[in-house]
Amino acid sequence: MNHSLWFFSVFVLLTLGLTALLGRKNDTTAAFYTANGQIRGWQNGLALAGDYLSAAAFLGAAGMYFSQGYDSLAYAVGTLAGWPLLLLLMAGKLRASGCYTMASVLHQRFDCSQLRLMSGLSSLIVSLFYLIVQMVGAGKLIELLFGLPYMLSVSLVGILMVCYVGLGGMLATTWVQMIKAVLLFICAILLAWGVLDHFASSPAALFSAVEKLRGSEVFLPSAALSNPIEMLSLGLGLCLGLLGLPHVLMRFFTVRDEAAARQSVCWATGLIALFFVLNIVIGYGAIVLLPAEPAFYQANGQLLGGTNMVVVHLARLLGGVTAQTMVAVVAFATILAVVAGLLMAAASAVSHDLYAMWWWRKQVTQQQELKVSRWATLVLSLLALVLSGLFQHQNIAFLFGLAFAMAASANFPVLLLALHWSGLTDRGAYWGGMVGMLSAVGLIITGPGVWVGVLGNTQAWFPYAHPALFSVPLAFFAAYMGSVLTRPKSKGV
Amino acid sequence: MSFFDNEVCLLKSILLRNSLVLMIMLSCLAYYSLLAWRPEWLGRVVAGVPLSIIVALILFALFVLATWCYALAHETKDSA
Repeated sequence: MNHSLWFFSVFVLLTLGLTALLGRKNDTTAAFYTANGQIRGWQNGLALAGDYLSAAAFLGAAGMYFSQGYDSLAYAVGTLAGWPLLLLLMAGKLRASGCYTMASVLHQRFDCSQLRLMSGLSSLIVSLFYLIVQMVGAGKLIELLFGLPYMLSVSLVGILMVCYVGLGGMLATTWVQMIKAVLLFICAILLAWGVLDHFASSPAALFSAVEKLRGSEVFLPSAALSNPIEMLSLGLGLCLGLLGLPHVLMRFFTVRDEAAARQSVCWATGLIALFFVLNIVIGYGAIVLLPAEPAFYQANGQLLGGTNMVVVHLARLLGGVTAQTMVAVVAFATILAVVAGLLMAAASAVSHDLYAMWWWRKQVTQQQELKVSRWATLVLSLLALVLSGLFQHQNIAFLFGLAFAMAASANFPVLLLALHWSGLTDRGAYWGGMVGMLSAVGLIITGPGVWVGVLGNTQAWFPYAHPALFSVPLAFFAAYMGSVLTRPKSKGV
Repeated sequence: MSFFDNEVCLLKSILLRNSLVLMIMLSCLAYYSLLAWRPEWLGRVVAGVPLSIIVALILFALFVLATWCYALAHETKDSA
């Protein structure tokens, strides 16, 4: 058995054992979805960081530094800005509401069947798209390490994630995310330290070497983001997308109270900022160090496994096969942990929002809901498997930007207005959610990322890859108009 | 704590929240506008580190401080 397989087997067996052990406590829906609110603030902060720092942040971001230079940092700034906004606008109020899905928050204010359907579908679509991003990263990683075909690699990940979520629920998912976060930070610190060691521990020497190799343009946005509208649209989607991600919002219900929810965000923000700083060193280090090693390149000059595998090659260069395997295991753990959180959110959208609250109008037992949740986990994994085949050649950091744009358009406007604007009506929420979701999905499909990149057409209908600058204001406008036009008229004095 | 003190405390909390939201939104808007329309302004190097990276690091620090500042203010309010 080679190094990689041995490390992978040990990690998978350990985490599956932990999952089976903690999964025994899942006898109610509250235990399955929210771990009965027993997670501590710092633990939830660590799990939030683990949940958030996905394949896109680890593999995709370094790959983007390597291929597009500064663009990766422009992504990081936007996504980090979402965290304080999440704390200021959502965390406390969400925890105080006691609901653990967006549909439940809306249901608390409005008793509207269509709204429940819309919010459940919206959460499902966002989680599914985000899931695809992670599956692509996992497939590429296993393909590179074990030489397995892409679809077989993705299928293996699918089977594992069904086991984690179906057996373990939120408590096991939280522990897997915490363990993964610790491993990820150890790995990132060692990689950054290894890179700086090549430059006498001087970041200035590193940046100077990067400039000599690629010119000063590598510290400015690339041609891919040269269009100002594209840049602003990306920024808006990244800043607000976090506030609409169901698997992140769901984590606020795993803690005891509002103070613990706030504490979680503080921990998560600090940890994620630290990770992004380490990523700057890792990404720019890869630009200088990897081209000197022809073994990492194919005959056509392309990097083995594509740019998403930059971190794995860098680890090989800095620490040999053992370091490469360790990084690959951590990347794999990263994907499994995030995927587990996403599947939890997607399964809860199906079983809680769509099955229990919309279809049966709460006339179901907890056991029935749990059963549906476990089946939903299986079906959603299959769906994500098929869709990840379509997107396998896209950069995962780019796909991550699109997932954020969808969350920012479909979920964020309605949730923000539901929590902060007393004038919102059920029609307004429905219109806002529908317009946000349809416009984001429509503009992404007709934009260059999917229309040209995935479907192979020559020219896109919609000229921009990131739709948030158009879809977010549209969603707010629709919610406002829907509320104003359908509000019952007062009789006057 | 009297009713008046409670109201003042609540008002301060809302004011702090809104100011922080505004500050974060404006700093993001300024950053992305700069990247979109005047990227060359960030092309200088300060002490060996590109200005574009320094600006990003300053924003990271700002976001972390805003989070901690708000949480700390609430903790003080809760304990009072």
